Amino acid sequence: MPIITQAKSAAVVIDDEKCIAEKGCRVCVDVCPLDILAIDERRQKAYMKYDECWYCMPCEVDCPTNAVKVNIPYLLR
Amino acid sequence: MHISEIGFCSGHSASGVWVDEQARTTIPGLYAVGDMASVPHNYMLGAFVNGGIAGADAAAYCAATSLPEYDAGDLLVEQERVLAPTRRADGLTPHEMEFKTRRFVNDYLEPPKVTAKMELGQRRFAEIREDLDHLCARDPHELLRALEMQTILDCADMAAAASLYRTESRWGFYHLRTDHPETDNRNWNCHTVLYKDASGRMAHAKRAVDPFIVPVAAAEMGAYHQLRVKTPAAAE
Repeated sequence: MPIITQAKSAAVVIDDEKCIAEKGCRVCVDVCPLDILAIDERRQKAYMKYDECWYCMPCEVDCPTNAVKVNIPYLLR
Repeated sequence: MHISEIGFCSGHSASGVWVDEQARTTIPGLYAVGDMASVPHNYMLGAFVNGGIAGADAAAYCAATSLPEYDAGDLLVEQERVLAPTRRADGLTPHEMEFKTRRFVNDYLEPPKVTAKMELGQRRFAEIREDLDHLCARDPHELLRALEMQTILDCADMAAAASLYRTESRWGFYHLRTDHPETDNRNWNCHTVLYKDASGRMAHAKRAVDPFIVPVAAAEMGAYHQLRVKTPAAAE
């Protein structure tokens, strides 16, 4: 179906340089209670796939290489 | 977070799934825990304890119960219902349908509750239910949201029906009905229970309130009647 995507800052940003998903790491995907993170199969890097973040933070805290940054919404900063 | 969370989701309102002390629902083997059952809103430690009690009891139930026979046809029908949104290439997204449902909860069900508005709401919910044939999911995550959206629609229907059944006002603003502004302890100092009747339709029953485990002084029972909430004039 035709889908429109609206520009919005991503809540969860992954640093591709630090992300080790290509080695099989799935920590951030596994700890997310909202199931919003996924691995980009082509690049073998984690990314935020669904805009449903609740800002609970375990993905950022548990990442073994500190590759994950959760950005609190502008409205609340 | 969503627009209609306050006063709609069980646990955040004066509603929820009926459970006993072991978190058993009225269906043997089915449990309900957390703030949709007996844990107050935002009470995390209580939720952990409640989950532990329910888990232990459920494990004991499973150990003592052998798997029953089931109808393979029923299973296929349910599988098809669950997977239906994945069979469509075009239609409505789970987000669109959930947002409209919650928007109507806000517009038609939120207090002060007006009978005519809630009946309008029921008709609008029925229209959304007809649109479920267009609900579309592209991947497992969207299917999860599609199924959750259908449950939210059920909750909206239940909230409307239960609110219309209780023809009085109670709990301050929570259940303030413009056309029944008085608290009626003679008829409504009780729980109200929703259930499915023999034809599968929603039906109502009253259930007596058990004596309090911890006695509450009469002076402490009046808090809801001391709220300075204006009672709006009936609109109809």
